Amino acid sequence: MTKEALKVQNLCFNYGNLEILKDVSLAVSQNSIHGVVGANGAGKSTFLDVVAGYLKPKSGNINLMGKDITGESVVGRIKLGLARTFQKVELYSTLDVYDHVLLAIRQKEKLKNHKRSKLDIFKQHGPSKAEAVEVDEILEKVGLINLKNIPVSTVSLGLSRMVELARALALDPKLILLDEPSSGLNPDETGRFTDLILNLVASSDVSFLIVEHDLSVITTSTRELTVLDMGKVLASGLTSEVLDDPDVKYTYLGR
Amino acid sequence: MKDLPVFIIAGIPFGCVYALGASGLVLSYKTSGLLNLAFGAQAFITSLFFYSSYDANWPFALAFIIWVILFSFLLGVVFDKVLFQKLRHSSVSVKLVGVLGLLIALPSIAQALLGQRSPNIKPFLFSTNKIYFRLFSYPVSGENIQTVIVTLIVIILLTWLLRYSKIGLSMKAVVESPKLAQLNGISAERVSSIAFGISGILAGLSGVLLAPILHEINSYDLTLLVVAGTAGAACGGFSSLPLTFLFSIGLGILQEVVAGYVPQNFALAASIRPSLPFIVLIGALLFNRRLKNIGNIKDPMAEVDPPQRSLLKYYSYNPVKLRAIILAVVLVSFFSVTFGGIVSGNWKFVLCQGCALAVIFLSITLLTGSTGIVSLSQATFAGFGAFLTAQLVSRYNLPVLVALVMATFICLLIGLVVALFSLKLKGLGAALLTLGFALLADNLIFPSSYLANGATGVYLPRPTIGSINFNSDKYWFIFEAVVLVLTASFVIVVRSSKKGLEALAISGSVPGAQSIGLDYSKSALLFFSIAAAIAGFGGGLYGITQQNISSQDFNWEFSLLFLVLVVVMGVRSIEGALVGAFAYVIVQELLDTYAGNNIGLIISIAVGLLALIWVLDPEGLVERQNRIWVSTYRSLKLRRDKAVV
Ligand SMILES: Nc1ncnc2c1ncn2[C@@H]1O[C@H](COP(=O)(O)OP(=O)(O)OP(=O)(O)O)[C@@H](O)[C@H]1O
Ligand SMILES: [Mg+2]
Repeated sequence: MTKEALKVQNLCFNYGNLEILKDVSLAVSQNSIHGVVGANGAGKSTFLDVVAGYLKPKSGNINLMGKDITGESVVGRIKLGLARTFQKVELYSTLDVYDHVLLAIRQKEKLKNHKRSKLDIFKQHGPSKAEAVEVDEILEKVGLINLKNIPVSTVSLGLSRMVELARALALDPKLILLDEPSSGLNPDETGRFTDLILNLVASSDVSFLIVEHDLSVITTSTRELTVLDMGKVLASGLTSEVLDDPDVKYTYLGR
Repeated sequence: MKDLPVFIIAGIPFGCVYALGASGLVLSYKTSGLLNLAFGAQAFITSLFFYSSYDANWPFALAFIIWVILFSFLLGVVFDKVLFQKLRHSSVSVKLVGVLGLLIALPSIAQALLGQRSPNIKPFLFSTNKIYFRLFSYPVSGENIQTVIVTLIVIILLTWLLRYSKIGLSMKAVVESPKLAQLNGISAERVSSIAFGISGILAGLSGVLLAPILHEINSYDLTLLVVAGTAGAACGGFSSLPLTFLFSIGLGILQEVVAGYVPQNFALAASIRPSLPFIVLIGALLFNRRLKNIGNIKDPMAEVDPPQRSLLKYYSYNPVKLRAIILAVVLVSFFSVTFGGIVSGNWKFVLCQGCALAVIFLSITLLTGSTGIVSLSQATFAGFGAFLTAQLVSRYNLPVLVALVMATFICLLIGLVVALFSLKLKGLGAALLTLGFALLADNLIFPSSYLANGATGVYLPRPTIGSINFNSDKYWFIFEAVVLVLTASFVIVVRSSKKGLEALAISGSVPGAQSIGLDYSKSALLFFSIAAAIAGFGGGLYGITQQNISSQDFNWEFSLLFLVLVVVMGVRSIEGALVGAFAYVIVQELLDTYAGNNIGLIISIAVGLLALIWVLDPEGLVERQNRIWVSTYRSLKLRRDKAVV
């Protein structure tokens, strides 16, 4: 029996009087990739923000690895194994690739081992031996090892998205939310990105919830798919079945 | 209670003037995303030019049309075209330094052009000082009537313009959906330029109307106008014009009512009235929920933020470099001062000032350089440091250095409290809050006999340690140089610490930092209070150097000046602060010797222009030099390495 990494039930979210999400329910199986598609403004990013705790839902439930996280803070969710990337890349503009991963690894240690945060204003920021090994491992995994000392302000959009993924991975999460990871990437980079997440799913126990415009990414990588239309779930289930759904074909694929 | 209507009527003209300034601020902010605090300077120079021409017997209509309509409109348009549009995509600190640069430089440039004598304020529509009629026994004079009438005309014209004219409709379209407006062929650039032009006229009008009410034109009133206007606009959430008008007029009324009811023998009676706008500004920032995100409001035109400029990577802790700096400073100071032929009497004192100022500047390096937070109250913290030190010495007979350490600690706590208040706001909002705090301190807190003791000021003794008497500038300089090196090392160590790295990450991207659980508030609290302590410490040193100081030595304008100097020189390296501080005191001394009494003007103009040059290419001057040196060094090294191979 496959267990669920994420289970969302009847999630509603409003901006003022504007209903953005209406009764959204979906489940991400453990160790799988779940796609979310929908037209511009369908509420995909808002959905991720609510799941990650950046926005508070009006009603509904969110379960992560069987635990109810609806009332948890952003940090609480990270502790329980949630990580994310952004549609508009959010990197630390003055730092280099290495520091992004290093900071995330430190945060993981702090959050997972319940260490009290210390007033480290005199300890120098460089990595300890153990941290250095861990950072290299992550960078190796995502193929950024040769770029570790490059300032992120100078890397391409494709690589920036890789850095965001590396930062998320460094938190050692159970579920990673990806917001349009392939937008702005060329087909080559997109291919590498899908291979990478497929590999990660195969080699570790992480799952992905991935918002995506590019149907080829959806068909090659996801097992399950949810279609959002104006804040409502149009269809949700196995990717092939959802894509065959006549409603989806009509409204989303336009056929 | 029978006086209440009188106070209310007395407040209305002030309120009208604030409302004019505030509505210009809101209009341009909404269409461009830039908060043009320099509108106070526009008001000031328009009224200066207008009254100078009018005083020189130009016909009223001519002077009015040329200066108040054409000139102020063009000024707004030119600002927008030359500067503001280029700042669209810049960070909060760059935008702020840009408008502050204008605010500092413009009035001085105008005064330099016209000479410092202020013109007669001749009445125009109605005669000033003449009582036309009495309302609830309040004598309504000409300047009151003309202010109210002009404001009413403006309200009518503005309503018509925004509701029915083509340009008004375009503005509305741009504010609501910039992308859609652009698709419909509306040029957002043109719209914002026109908005800045109109807001220029509004600023000019407010200046021209304020002068007769106050019977003079001086730059202090300009500050008052900026703050009162900003407060009115903040109450209206920086977005609603009718609310802005209402609140601004309410502020004018409140000011008179409060002033009217405060008992005359109350110690702070005189300072309550001018302080009210600052209090209202702080209140609006803290309690107006619409302002929570004001720091994050982006230019409506910006569809995608371009990547920030790649600045030089933060300075990591580099023992070699640190030692080199220590050595250099120690050697230079030792030789120049000890073998005193090179540095004569007064210059030793100047170097002493430079050291103290450099310590204050380093607080900005630490705060803004690591967290990106812009504080407009660093001179205020310095003032607290100095005055508290003096009070601890005179009241409790403490040795001056012990008092200095205690004062530093108190500054840390004050910084913590201010930071706690500003946490709710970010970016621009937080910066405005610190400005409000600085002005409040100048007007309400410092004059108290427990701190700066009014205009008299306070006295700080130089310390004596063993047989060394630091009354000699020579020894005091050596002491200060050592302290400066220690402070600089402290700043370097903290910035390159683990917390320093976290702060850099947060300043790079708040959501990005949030996504790994890094907390903006904790980092902000930590760095803000440490910076306040450093500033307080530097202020104490400055006080001990000067020995006699008053609240004028630390007023809010110094906070602007310090901020501008440090960011212009380079906020990411300690060299920026050091060069900025010493350059400042040295230039000041040179001007003092050679330029006589124009010194204030020259410094303001120079600093303002520096700021404007810098915002167009925000890499610190010293920082750029550093980068060039580093890359030359690297390429040389590379060549040598290749040669070896
Ligand atoms: N701060 C806000 N206030 C009000 N409405 C908002 C806000 N942010 C987003 N919306 C609206 O919420 C809806 C959903 O936005 P969301 O960003 O989640 O869409 P999306 O599916 O991610 O679209 P895209 O494919 O463009 O990324 C949109 O109609 C948007 O206009
Ligand atoms: Mg989206």
